[in-house]
Amino acid sequence: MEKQCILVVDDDKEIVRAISIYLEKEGYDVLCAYDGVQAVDFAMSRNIHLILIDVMMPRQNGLAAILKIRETRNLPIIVLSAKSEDSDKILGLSMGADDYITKPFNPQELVARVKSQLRRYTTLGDINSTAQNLITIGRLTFDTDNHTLTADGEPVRLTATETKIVELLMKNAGRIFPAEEIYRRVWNEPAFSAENTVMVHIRRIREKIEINPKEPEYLKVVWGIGYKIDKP
Amino acid sequence: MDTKSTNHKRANLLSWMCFVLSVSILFTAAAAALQTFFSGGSAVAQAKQSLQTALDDNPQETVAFREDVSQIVYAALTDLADREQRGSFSKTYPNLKWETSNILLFAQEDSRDTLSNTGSTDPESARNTRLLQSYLMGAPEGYNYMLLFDGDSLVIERDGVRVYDTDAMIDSDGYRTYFSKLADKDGEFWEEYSDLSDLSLVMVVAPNLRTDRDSAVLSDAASELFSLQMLWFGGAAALVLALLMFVFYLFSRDRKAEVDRQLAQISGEVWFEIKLLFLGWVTWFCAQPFLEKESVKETLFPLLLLFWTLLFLLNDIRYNPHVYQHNSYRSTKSWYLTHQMKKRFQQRMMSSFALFAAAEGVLFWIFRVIPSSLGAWITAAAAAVILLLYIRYFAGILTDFARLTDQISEMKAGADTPPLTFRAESALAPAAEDLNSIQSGISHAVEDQVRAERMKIELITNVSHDIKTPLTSIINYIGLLRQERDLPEHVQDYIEILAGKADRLKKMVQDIFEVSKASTGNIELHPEPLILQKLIQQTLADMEESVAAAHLALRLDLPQEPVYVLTDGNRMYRVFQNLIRNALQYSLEGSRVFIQLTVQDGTALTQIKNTSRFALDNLPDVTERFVRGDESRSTDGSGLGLSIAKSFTEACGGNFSISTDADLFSAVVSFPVIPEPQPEEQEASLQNEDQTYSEEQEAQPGELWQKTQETENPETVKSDEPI
Repeated sequence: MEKQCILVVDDDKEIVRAISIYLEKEGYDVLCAYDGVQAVDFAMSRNIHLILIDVMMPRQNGLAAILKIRETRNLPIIVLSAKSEDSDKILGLSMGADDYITKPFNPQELVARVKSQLRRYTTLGDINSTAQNLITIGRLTFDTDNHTLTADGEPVRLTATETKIVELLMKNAGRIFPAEEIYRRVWNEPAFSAENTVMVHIRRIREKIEINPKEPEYLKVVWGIGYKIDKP
Repeated sequence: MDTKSTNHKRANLLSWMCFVLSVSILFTAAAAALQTFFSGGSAVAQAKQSLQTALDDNPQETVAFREDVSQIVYAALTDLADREQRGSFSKTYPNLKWETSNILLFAQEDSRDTLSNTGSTDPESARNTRLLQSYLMGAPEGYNYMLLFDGDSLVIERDGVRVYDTDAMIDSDGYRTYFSKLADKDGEFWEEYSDLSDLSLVMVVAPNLRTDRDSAVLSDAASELFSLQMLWFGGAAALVLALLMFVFYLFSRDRKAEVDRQLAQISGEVWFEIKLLFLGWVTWFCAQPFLEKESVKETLFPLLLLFWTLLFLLNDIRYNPHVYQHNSYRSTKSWYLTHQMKKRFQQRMMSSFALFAAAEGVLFWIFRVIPSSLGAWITAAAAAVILLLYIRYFAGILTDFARLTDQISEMKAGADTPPLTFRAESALAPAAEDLNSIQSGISHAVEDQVRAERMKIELITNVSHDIKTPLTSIINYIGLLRQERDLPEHVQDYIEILAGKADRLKKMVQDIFEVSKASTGNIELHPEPLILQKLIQQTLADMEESVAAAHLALRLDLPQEPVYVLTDGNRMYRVFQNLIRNALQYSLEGSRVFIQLTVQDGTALTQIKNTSRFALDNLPDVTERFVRGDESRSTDGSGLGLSIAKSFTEACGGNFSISTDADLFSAVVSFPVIPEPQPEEQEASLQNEDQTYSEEQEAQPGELWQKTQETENPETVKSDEPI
């Protein structure tokens, strides 16, 4: 299989270099660009599978570059930015980015997100084509017939209890479940010290399905109320 | 500069003087013109008339001539009667000049005593004979007038016409009055000169006789004409001068206006009543001459005075917009008020009451003393009016009091109220002013503080942003170093240290950012009702590992009833996380950490107490950013934990406080309790079709929620065990 090519754009050359080292170790081809104009040029002329792009850059900023690229190319774009406000994230995603990573980032997390995006970009079509009882929320897909969970198309190994919890939350995506209710429904017995028990399982599930378990994207705690998985 | 302004002043004054003088002169001229118009014909015309008469008339028809003639006749008769003077004139005969022969006189008595100016007393002389024959032959040549007296009848002929005849009763020239003494035979004259008998007197007069009187009239008329002429010249010159001055004034009206303004400034100081009195007096003064119908000359000055007075008052009104407001009543009042304002409020109230009481007392005394019942009624009415005024005054103070207290309470509530404005005479005006200045002082201070705080936040935001970029590189390359396999062990240790410190730095930067935003209220909040016990338990469960790692006993004391509060769960999780982390980090090893939730008067108090490892005396304000209990700063953490807890709690609508007692450190987070929310937000039914959950499937959402409540806190969780 042909090596996948990733375009890394940042005006800080050391950051570009570090990122390219990590990605090359994972077996990707890396193209480097240092401003928005260069990024758009590469995106148009080369066969690129994913773009990592900074926002604040000389000549043309990252968001403008994304808009330009999105006019013709449909490929995953991940924004790298020192701006960590929710409003910045929403702006980036609404401009056409697929993911938003704030600086300073963990290199492993970056690599994991790149992998996730690429996998969805290349293989998601196959999964969707099979007619099964599937619940898909972002990277996660739950097969209600086989009680199996896949993340980015890769099967996730869950214990029976964990599967039950994930199934309950994914089937009722968006609904908040108090710990006691989860306990009763999953363990099928009256709740006792439910908060701790449920929390332990939730944390374990997070370790398996989230890219960064400390900043969960899917399995969220609603503080003071319960737990939920957001609707897609 | 000085000379310039002096010159300016002079020019101003000159302009003003020109105006006043020119107007006065024009006024006078107008008055003179009016007088001439109404009295008919000018003084000059009258003078001309009299002069004309003097020059044109026949002198023999004038009164003076008649007087002279009669005097000559009487004098001649007197001289004739005087025996010793016979034959010569002893009397002064007006206009009878012997050298000239304009008048010829011959008189005789008994044909003996004669009196003549013809040069001879002899009746037989040619001249005298001719004179005596005048009665028959008419006046001799060169004379047109003759007078004949024969002791009985008197005849006068002029130009051959008889103008006086005592017998024929002719008196066309009006000689009767002059010769009445001669006509009266029984009168005084004939009594005195009774010895005169057989008289005959002839007098002839040449035409164009000029008497002394004529010249006097002429000279009078001439001098009158001259003076009139001078008056005319003077008047005309004055008029021209006045017009010139008026033109000058027209060109320098601004300067005159300047003086007007200054005058108005001066007149503005005078009370309105005084001006009115002055106007009244001037009017009365001016009306006098008119009432007494005096001539224009007498009325001119008062009229001018009235004119200038009116102009002066108009000027006053023009430049002093509220001229009537400056009066004795107001001055007295304002003097009283300024005097009052210097005193304290209580003294002011006392003195106003004293004034009221004194006025009422005086009125009561008058009421008692006054004899007439009408006067008593008026006094009683005045007393009632004063009482009403005092009540109104007092009610005004009460209203102001209410406004003042309202303002204070609104200020306390933090409302942005407009400054209070009281009437200047209000007794509370100084208090309101003080309050306003306090208010503006506070708002200034707050504004300054907010601005300073915002600048600080901007700085922190920029700095933390700028730190993030190099930090990204550091973390990335540390990661790369970590992946190197062949490094010696001690180098790997160094790398681990670097990794730990880089992580801490990253956390600090994020924390700084959050704190600075929260403390300025710049964070987005999503408040929703949540159960405080659950939040605490979830937080503890989330931190289970670090709690277990610490050698501490955790004691939870939570009430059985769920305590609902309205707040942002994510932020409050960070608050409790930081508080618990703080307790774990700084507690004495083996001691107990207490987490208690109590409800007092509708407020949920969450206390987290621990026994400090360090002595807590002289503890700095640990909620300040970067302040830490241990000054060595050797421990982990950003030094922002309590600061985050405090700013987040306050941003979420709660209160945060810290207290220490010996080694006991306690943090209290309090929120107002809200009633249990209706469970309508729960979704209608569950999507789970698995048989395992079938029994709950039928449960209604409300019941589900209810069940949750029941089973949630079976009993207050009390645990001595480390969780």
